Amino acid sequence: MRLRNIIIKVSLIFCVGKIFGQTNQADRLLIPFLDDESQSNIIVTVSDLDGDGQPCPMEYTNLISNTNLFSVAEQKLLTEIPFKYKDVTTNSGPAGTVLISLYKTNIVIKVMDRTVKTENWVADFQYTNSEAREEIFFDGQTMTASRFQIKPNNGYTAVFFQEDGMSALRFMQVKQGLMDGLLVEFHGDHCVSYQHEIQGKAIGKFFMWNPLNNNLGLEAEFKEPYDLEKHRLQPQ
Amino acid sequence: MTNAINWPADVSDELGSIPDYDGASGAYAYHYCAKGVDCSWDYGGGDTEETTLSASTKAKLYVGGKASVGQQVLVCVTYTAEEIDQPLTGGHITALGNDMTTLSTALGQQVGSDGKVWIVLPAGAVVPATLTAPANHYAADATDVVKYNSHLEVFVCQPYPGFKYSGESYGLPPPVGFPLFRFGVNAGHAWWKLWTDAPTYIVNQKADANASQWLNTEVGYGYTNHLNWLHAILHGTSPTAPGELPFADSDTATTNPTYTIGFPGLIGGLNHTENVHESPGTYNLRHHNCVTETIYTAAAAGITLPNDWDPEHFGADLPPGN
Repeated sequence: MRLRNIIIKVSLIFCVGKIFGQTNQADRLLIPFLDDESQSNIIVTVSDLDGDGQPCPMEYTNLISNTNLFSVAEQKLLTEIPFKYKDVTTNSGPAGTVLISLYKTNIVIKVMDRTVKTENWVADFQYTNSEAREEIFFDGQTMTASRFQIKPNNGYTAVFFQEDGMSALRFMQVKQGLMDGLLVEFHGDHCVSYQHEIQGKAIGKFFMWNPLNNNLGLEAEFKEPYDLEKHRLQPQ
Repeated sequence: MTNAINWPADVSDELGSIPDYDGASGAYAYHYCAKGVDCSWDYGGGDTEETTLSASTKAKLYVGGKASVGQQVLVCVTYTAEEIDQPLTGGHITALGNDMTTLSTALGQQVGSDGKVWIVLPAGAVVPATLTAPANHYAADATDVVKYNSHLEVFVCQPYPGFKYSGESYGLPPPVGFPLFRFGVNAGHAWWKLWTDAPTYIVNQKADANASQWLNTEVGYGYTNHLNWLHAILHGTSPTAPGELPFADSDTATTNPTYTIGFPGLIGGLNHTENVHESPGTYNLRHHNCVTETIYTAAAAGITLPNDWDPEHFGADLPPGN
């Protein structure tokens, strides 16, 4: 009886401590690039983006073969995409498509106090056996981006570029014009950023790995849809 | 080097023309000096000839380069000087074999034991370079003239060179911390290297003690403790930590222009680097960081670099190398 009381008391102390830990912002891990007040429903387990990161547990090894991160369908999609676009040129699209238009455009983006202008050739390809289309951007350097649309505003965007001497891929799935599904970045074989979106909001597990050593820099979980872009802090 | 000679017309045929002074060896005197030399020949039978020699060639050094740039370059001239006996009959003058080189002066300095005179001169300058030997009759030569260039190489690792990330044109959200921070490289880095064609022992003669250890070495400024980079960049704060130089890093430069600097600039840059090594002070994220010290070192070397605080802007604003 006495032992049981002790166990209950110790348990109560742990519970109180845990409650204090969750409510005390100073003791809670946070995602540093989001405003603190918005993170009440985000569980952050690792937050070390300004260091080298922490050794990554096996279950979160940042490889496409890791079924804890990628479903079989996602693995298949991510594996096939580089091959699908590897021979694409301004007048030759992915297999099964025909060129329907080719034009040049300038894309101007404001970044802090700078204006970044990118000159692109844009080639539109139509699949011959479906309504799906490919809109492929060529910026004249190493970057090629494809917006694959099964029907307007459904599909994905895949960006191919070079990073640290490796082939790299940023990939985002889109539904009804909003990010929906995977949002990932790979450098070579290794994933460096991983999250899922639903109707434009982050949901579920969110990982970032250090590209230099594959350490885990961020492990978090959005318990409910979270408008990441709305709460993102801007550098100053 | 240019030559001019005040050679008495009535003996020029006999002695040959300058610069030839020794027909036997084929040697040349690019600089010839005769002060009060009185040459007498007795052909016998009361037949004598007397000639006085007076000559003083002038040498000029053309430094080369653009004077408008205003750089001071290091020049090394190697001299030889030899005393000459009176001319022999038949026309040839003969060297005595007395080496006057190290007893001579040129370019306002004593000629060194190796026959060299080191001097810093403005680019584009034309200066008197006549050797003066302590003799009344001598020939001299500048056997070698070398101009040594010096350089400052600036390295910058930018998180997102050109303020670009993969996908900005295509609706993909920017990465965390864009454009000033990138996981793995933090806010980037800036560092420098000073190098010269001149021998290190000359640098050692001009620079502060131990400063030449930074020659031909990539070196930068950093901090000794952990800094909460991302938080500071996102919240506009400027954390501090003890500074250090050199700062160990493994960053890869995304841009690294090289600037030609003068020799005093090289010495200034090396001395500044050594001073920071000895007294690194306090690192301050926005006010005294790797970019700041790169700017200060460049200023000590005579180069003005853009007054940015972060590597992304600094790399983008750097003037092209020359």
